[in-house]
Amino acid sequence: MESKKMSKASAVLITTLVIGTTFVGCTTGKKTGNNPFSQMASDVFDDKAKSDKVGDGSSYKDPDPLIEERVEDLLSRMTLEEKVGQMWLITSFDFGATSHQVSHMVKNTISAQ
Amino acid sequence: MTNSMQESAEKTRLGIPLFISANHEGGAWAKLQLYSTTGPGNMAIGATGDKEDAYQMGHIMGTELNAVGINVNFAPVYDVNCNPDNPIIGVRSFGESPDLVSMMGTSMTKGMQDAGIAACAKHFPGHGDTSIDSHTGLPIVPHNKSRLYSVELAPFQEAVDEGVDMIMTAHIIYPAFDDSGKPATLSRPILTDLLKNEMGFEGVVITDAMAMGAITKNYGSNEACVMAIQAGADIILDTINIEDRINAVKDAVRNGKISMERIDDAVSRILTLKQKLGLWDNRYVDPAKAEKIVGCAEHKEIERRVAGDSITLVKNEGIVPLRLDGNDLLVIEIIDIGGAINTLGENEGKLSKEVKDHNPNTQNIFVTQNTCDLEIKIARKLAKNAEVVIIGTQNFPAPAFHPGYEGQVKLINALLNDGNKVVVIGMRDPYDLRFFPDVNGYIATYTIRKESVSEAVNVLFGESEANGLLPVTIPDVIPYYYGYPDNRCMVKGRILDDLGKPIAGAAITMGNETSHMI
Repeated sequence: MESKKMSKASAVLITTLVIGTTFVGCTTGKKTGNNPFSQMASDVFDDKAKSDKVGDGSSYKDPDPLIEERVEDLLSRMTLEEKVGQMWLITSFDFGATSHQVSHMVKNTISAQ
Repeated sequence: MTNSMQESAEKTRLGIPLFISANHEGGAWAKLQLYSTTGPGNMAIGATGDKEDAYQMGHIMGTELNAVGINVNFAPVYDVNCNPDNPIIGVRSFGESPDLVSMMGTSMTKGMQDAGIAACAKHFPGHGDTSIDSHTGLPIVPHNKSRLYSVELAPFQEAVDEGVDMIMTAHIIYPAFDDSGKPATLSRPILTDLLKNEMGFEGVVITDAMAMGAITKNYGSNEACVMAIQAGADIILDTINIEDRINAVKDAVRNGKISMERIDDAVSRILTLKQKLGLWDNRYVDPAKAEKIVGCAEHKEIERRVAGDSITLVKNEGIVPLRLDGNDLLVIEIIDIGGAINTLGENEGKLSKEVKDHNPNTQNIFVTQNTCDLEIKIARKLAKNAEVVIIGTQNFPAPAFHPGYEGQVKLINALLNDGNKVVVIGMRDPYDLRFFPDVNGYIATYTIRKESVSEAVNVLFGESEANGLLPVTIPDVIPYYYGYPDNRCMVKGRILDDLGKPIAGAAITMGNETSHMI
C-alpha cells in the first residue's frame, strides 16, 4: 500500500542503463547460427559492440558536429540491450529503498555489464 | 547521490549519462519539499494571472534541481482542471481555462528549460476532466474530438510548439481518438498518430508510472510495457521486475512485435535530449555550490512575492479585514495524518502562529483531515468564546492518498449553525467552498506553504490586498465569471465582495492582453 501510495509521488526517479548480467548471454553470437529471429534484429545481437570500444575521441562526444550526427553515430554503436536500457526509468519509491540503496542498486545494475 | 549514479553510468561501455528526474511540480506536489523553493503551486500561479511569475518559479525550480544533479522535471502539469470533482489534479493545474494553462504552462516550461533541465508536460492528452484517479482506476474522458482539441489538447499543442522536451502520457481512455478501449499510454493512435505525427512532437514521450492501478488492474505488466512502446512511448516509467520487463521488450523486438525502427526512434529521441542538455559535459554537480543555491534568500524572496500575488479573496461578507477590538479568535487547523505531502516542517501550525502574531487573544486547535465528531464537539465548545473562527481547510479528495474531507465540511457547517462567524482559509483545492457556501469569508491560498499562509493572514488583518483571481469555477457558488462566459474561458476573473457582484474596476491584465469586463 505504501509503495503504491508513493509511486506517483516518487522522490527521485532515475533513468538508467539497466543492463544486468542476465542479458549479456543474449548478446553473444551463440544463438546466431540457428537464430529464429529476424534478419533485422540479428545485426544487433552480434558482438560488434564488444570489439568496438569507444574512446574519448568518439564523434558523439565531440561538441562540433551537429547533435543529429552525434546521436546517429552513438546509435550505430549500441546493442539492443543498450538501446532498451536507455528506455527505462526506475523509481526509488517503487523499490521502497533509501536513496543510498538506490544509488547502490544503480551502480550494480549498470556496472554489471 | 546523483554524482555517484552518473559516475556508475560513465564507467559503462558507452558512458552515456543518465537522466535523473524528480516529480517537482511546485506547491505541495514537490519532491524536494522541505529545503527547496517550490513556490505556491500551479493553481496559485494561475491565480496571479502573471506569466512572469510562472516563468520565475519554473526557473527557480529548474535551477535548484539542476544544482543537485536532477536534469529532468516531471512538470509542469498541463491539465485543464475543469472538473471540480477531479480527485488527483486540482491545484496541480493552473486552472480551468485552456488559454491560461497554455500561457502559464509554456512560461513555466521556458523557465525550467532556460535553467538547463528538461521540462515534461503532463498528463497527455489531459487528466483535467476526470473524477477517477488513475492511481486506482482507469478513467474515461468521453468528449468528442472538437471539444478535446479546444480544451484538453490546446495547452499540449502550445507546449509542443514552444519546444517542450518531454511529454508524459495519461492512463486514461479517450474513445474519440482510440475506440479500442486502450488508455492513451498504450494507444498508437494517440501517442504516434496524434502526438508525434499530427501535433508534431519531436521530443521524448514517457509513460506515467506503469505501477499505477489504471494499468496493473487491466493489463499484464510485461504486456503493458510492450504495448506502450508499440504505441509510441520512448521511456517506460516502471521499476518492478525490470529484468522481466526488459526481456519481454527484447523478445518483442526479436519476434517482430516491436520494430527496430521503433526502438531506434525512441533511443534517438532520448539521446538527442541528452545531447541538448549537454549531459556529457555537465553530468556532475558540486554539493557545496548546490547548498548555496537550493532555498537561497533570492529564491525565497521571489517565492514570497508570487505567493502574495496569488492570495484570492473568494468570498467576503464584510468580515475581512478583521476588526476585533481585542476579542478572541479561534484558529482550527488540519493535521495531515497522511503525512508525506502536506503539513511538513515549517508549514505545520503556520496559520495559528501567524494569527497569534497579529492577535494574541487567540486559541488554536488541530484536527484531523476527516474531522471526527469528538473533534467537532470540542471545536464547537471553544468557538463559544471566540468572536471569529478561522479554519484552514485541506480539500484534497484523492482517495489513494488521503482519508477524505467530509469531516471538515461537517465541522464548518456545525459552527455556522451555532451562529459563529467563520472565515475559511482554503489551503488546497478551493472547490470546498461549495460545501459550506454560507461562510462569512473565504480566502484561497491553494497551498499550505508557509509563505502563502503568511500572506493570507496579512490579507485577513488588512495588511495587504488580496491580489489573486480565482482561476476556476466553483459550481453553484462562484458563478460563470471565471468559467466560459463567451467560450473563451480566459480567466477574466473578479474578486467578489459578495456573491454575484464583481468589484467595480477589477479588470485585470493578463500578459499583454487586457481583459474584458463582465
